Amino acid sequence: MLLTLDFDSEVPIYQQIRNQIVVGIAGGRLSPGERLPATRALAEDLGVNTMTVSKAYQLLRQEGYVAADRRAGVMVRPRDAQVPVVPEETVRGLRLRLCELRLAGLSREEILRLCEKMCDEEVD
Amino acid sequence: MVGSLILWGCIIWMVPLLYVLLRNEAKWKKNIVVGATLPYEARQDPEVEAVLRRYRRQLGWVSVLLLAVIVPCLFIPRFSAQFILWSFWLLLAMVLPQIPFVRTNRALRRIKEERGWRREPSVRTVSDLKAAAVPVKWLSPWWFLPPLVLSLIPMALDRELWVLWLMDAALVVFCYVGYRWLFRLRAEVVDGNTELTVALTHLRRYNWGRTWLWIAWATGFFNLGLCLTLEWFWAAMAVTLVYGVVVVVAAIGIEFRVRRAQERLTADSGKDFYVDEDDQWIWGMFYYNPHDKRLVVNNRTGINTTFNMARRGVRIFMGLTVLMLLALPLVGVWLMHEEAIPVELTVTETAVVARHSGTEYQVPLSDIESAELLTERPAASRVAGTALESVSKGRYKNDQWGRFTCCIDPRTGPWLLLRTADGEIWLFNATDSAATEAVYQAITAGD
Repeated sequence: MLLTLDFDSEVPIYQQIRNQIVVGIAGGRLSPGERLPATRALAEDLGVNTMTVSKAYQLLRQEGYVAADRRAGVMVRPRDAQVPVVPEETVRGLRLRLCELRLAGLSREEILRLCEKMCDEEVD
Repeated sequence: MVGSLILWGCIIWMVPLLYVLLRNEAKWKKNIVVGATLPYEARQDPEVEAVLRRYRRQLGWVSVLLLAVIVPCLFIPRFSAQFILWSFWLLLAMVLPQIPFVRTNRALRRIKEERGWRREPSVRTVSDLKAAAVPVKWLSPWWFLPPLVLSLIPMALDRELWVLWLMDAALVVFCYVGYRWLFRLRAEVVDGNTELTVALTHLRRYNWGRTWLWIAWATGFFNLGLCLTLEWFWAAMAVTLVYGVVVVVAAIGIEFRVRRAQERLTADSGKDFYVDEDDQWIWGMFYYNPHDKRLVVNNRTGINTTFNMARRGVRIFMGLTVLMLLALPLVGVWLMHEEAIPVELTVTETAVVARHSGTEYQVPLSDIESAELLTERPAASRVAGTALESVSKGRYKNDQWGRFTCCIDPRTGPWLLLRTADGEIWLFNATDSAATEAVYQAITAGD
């Protein structure tokens, strides 16, 4: 799975890393049990600070997408173990995006079709 | 003439070497040609092909020109004047072949813009998570220990030149340091094919280790060989030559093997998605990425590494290196000055004093056991010191006396040979023959 960092983006780098890993897991490009690079290895690869990657991994761990083990490193958690409840922040974000789509002139049906299309593309 | 041939022989190979290396840049590797990333369709583009043909032609002409310039330089009589020309030539040999590269890179980037091949502005970094997760296997430091031991053996055999042997041993240590820390652990992402990325990454890492290990072992044997042959000038020269050839051939051989493999592995890449980092490479040559925290980065093709010019430390280091290279002709000016200063020989109330430029040797009169005035200059070869047409100073050796200290003008006799109570031998004279004879008379007057 390719991870692309956009340094011109207003989204912080750790957030970009976190977001793309979440999309990767949802899209099946990162399978359950798959090992992610060690913090230092990924920081070296991307040329960013170790703390940045560490922060992204910490966030993913808190949200339940990955599990960290001292010996095995960071791994994608099995699907049934992931995200027992949808984080409130995600729901707030989704609501905001829905409002934006409404304001852009899309109807309820158009929004649902768009969501369906994206689900087909990204989610198993 | 021998000195001149050695001087030019040390650097003349740079031209054909740079020629083959730069010419090889015109072959497609990892979707990159002459430092420009282009899609697969560009490989058959007539304009691109024409630009690459012109590049190869220009490179050939520059190389021929550089080699032709050397011939008249060989016949210049003074060593210092030759050295000044040599240093200017060295600078030209490093810079001139890069000009066709830069021009071609710019032409290819222009074509890229015109054809709409340029991807979105790339202040982006792409990483392959699966490839980055592959554990790194470093060579064990034990592989570097035998060459280190080899290079330290001369310390026991010849203690007088311990600084030289220690420096060579430090080179073996540097090989390990360079292997571990002059390398950027970054996966070689070319496109979305993870297997290809892993293969390319492994290829580079494996050969990087091989290169440093080769150099370490060659340095270990060289140090030992040099110590064993130091008494015979031509044998020592042969050992040095063999060492140089082994290191260059091994390094270049591995570099080309990696380039060929990169070419083969990425022969079909670039048809849909491909990674384009051109915006981070000035003229396709200098890496400049302020978002990259690392100082050392891997070259785009081959196995070599380069520096991130966006880091202040790198800019200072590169600036100092350029200044040092530009100051090289000044060494020639200093040599000219050294050649012009006469060798002096005087006797004070307590000692015989030989002096040249900043060097001074004093032999206490009370220590002198014998003094002899030689009308023929004894044959000797340098161990450590200066050997110019007008002055030989430092430690020298010959079959008759072994090692001795010398400060003479080889052009004018006679030469004064002194032996001291501690078994040391000193060979002095002055550029002014009368001064040498006067010192000899003063020493022997009391006998």
